[in-house]
Amino acid sequence: MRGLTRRLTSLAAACVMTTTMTTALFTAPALALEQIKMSIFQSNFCCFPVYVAKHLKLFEKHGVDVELVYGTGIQPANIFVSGSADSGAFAVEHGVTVSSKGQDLKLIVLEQKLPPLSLIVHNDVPTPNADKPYPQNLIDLKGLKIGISGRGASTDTATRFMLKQAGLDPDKDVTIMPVGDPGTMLASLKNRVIDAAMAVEPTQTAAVQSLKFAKTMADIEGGGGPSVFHPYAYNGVFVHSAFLKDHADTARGIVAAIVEACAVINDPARMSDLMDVAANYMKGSDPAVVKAYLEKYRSNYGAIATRQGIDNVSAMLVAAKTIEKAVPYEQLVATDFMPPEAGAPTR
Amino acid sequence: MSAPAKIRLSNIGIIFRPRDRGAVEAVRGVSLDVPDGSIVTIVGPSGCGKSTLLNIVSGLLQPSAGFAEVNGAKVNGIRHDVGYMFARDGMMPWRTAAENVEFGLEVRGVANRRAVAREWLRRVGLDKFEDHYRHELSQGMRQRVAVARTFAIEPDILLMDEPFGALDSQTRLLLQALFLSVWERNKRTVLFVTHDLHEAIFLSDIVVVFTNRPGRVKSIIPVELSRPRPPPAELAIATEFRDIYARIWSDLKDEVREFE
Amino acid sequence: MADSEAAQAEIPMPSAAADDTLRQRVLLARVAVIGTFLAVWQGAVSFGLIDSFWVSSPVLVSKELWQEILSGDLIRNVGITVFEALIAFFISSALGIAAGLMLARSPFWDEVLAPLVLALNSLPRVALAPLIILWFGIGIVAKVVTAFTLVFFILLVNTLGGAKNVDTDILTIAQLMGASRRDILWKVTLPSALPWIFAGLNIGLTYALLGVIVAEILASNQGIGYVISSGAANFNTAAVFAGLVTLAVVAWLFSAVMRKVEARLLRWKPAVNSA
Repeated sequence: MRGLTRRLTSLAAACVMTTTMTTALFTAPALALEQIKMSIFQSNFCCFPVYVAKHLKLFEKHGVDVELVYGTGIQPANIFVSGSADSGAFAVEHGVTVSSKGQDLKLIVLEQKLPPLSLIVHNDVPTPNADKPYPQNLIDLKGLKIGISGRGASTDTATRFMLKQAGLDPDKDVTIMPVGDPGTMLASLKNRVIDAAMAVEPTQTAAVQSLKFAKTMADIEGGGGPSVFHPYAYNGVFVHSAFLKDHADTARGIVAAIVEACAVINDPARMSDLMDVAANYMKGSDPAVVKAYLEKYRSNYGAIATRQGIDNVSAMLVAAKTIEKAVPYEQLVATDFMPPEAGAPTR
Repeated sequence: MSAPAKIRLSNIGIIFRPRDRGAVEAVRGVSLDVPDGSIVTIVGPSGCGKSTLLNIVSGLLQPSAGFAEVNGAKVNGIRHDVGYMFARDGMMPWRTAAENVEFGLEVRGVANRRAVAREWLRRVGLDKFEDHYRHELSQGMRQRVAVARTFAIEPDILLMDEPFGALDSQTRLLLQALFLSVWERNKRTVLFVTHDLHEAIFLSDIVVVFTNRPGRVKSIIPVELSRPRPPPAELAIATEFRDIYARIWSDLKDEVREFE
Repeated sequence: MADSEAAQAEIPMPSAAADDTLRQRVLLARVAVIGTFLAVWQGAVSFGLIDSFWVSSPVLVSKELWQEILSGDLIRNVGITVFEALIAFFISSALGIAAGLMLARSPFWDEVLAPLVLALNSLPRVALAPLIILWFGIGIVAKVVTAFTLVFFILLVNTLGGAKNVDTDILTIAQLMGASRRDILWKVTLPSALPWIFAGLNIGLTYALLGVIVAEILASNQGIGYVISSGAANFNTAAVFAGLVTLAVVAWLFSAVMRKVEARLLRWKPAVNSA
């Protein structure tokens, strides 16, 4: 009889505890954060503001709990489009392509304005036309192997666009080779598997500044290269329209977090925080290279997508024959959420 | 006998040692002489080691005791002057009848082998089927191809292991007669193994009765019937035939254990 | 001397006219099935049941294919993929068959290597593709190597099986007839193993194509795999389907040729051919 009593008591206690905890969970909305998934590139500088926001808990500060879902190449866009993630941090070019095909998505905030790209060649490649202005100096690429990150990626589109401007046929006058992530690209260029590369940071800073085995041919992130990139909208956060309706507060929270993250990046005084973020999210990159890159190009990070920038993205894609006609700003951007342009066009 | 036997078995013993069972003595102390140009048939109950003896003579198997001699020389290693036939036809399905008969000649590099093959197929009545494949021939026809193939290489000796056993009784009689008529041309030495007593008497000069396992020679019975032999149906009712049959059977029946 | 039994094999064939009717009906049914499928596909898109963004449509895919044919891209890409697949197929098959025959001749090495072969065969070698690309770059070598890892083992295993299953009667007779080891290999083992080898070749051809396509999708700038992955990367579903359609046609052509060759070389087999 005593055993039974004891057992019944424990059972009762368990029931009480469970009820209490469950009630606590449901009656503490102030403490609960909206949890959403965001697809994103791994160890890529284009999404650095998201890494900053995550690491410095800026998302939580603005009431959002973001779970990152990693992918490479076209995957972050695919993961988002297929509905496996509520939001996606990926190339605006991909967003425009999807939008042009009638699919619903909205850009709520930008991360990076300018592509962190630079067309570089190995030092041993003869460049007799080096002093000519862009695009004539690209003639020296004829017959060479040019590395890109992956097919359809912005490196691919940009390379083909620039080659055409120089009068070269991307399919016949050069060999465009996908080589993958920045680490592989660096190694491939160093070992002359490729002669040149549309480098994505930190590849070019490492190759040209640190290891000094390559020279720059067109420095897009530095303001060079084709005019279509100035201004531009490179990488941003997308959500579906339905999400904006049902989770407007969360969307605003994301925007606010990214705006704040960009401010941190733009602030020279916060370098040590940024190095901390890099150590956690840019695994495998040399801290010296990271520091050098951020010092030089911190102003390329920004949260505002300008009209001209979006139009230029469309222009690039139309030239690449990826889309047939330009996507209007209002179609792509969630104008109620995107931080407003401040008067003069930003660079 | 003045000349030495064409095939001599001298005190052959064979013991098999299968992997997960005890040793089996198949044959014990078998001595036998096969005179040149004769057909000698071994009859005996199932499992008495008759087929194994043929393998010894051909060199496919080594005896555990004793030895075999052909033309006075010991058998060691697979012989290439042997014609071998068994119940399964052994036709290569990817070759036509003619190509099957040609095989032995091909391997010896005989120049006009196609003509030789054709001739042999004609002798066994298959001249219209030389381009047929195995699956296009009946069992009887396949055995005829086997006969042609066996004789085409002009072997020194023939070893036959119940070659007509898989055929229906009518076809069997026809094949027996065919075999004998082909054999008559060169009268090669044949060591034959069979269950069928009629067949044994019809074909042979000597019938050897074997005991049960381990097989030993029980009796050697000469078949003094004139050659060429009359057709089997006729022969079967001849009195000499019935006498020989009775003699063989009286020796054999003790060895055959029914419903063991 | 006539045999009392009739010769086998003359199975009563349908008359020529009945045969033609059957063939016509089969053809009609095929056209009907494909036509229905295309109609449903197009209908679903045209009536808005599903967005062409996800599944494209027969009309869009045809347009895309036509454009690629006009620009010469289709011929070029198909040519490259077919070329790579065939090279990979022939090299891998030849080596696989040779290896199978060698192992069949040496029971010792067969026993030694059997578990290794089994382990390697069970490994999904497609997973090696990224590594292969790292080693060999994105040229034709990487494609051939990827396909090789698939096809070689298929042919090895099949040849080995066939070579080990030669009818012992035939082997015995061949030996007694005086066939040398070379004779036995070329005149007995190989023809006997041919049905097995052909089974392997059939699968091998498919896998050669598969290996090449996988390598092309991962890293290439030409070929049908490139068309498919490039289309996917640009959210161009029509291009993806165009690539798939092209691939299906190529694969079908391959197997049609294979069947003709097999019918010729294995005409001695008693099995009945299907239409």
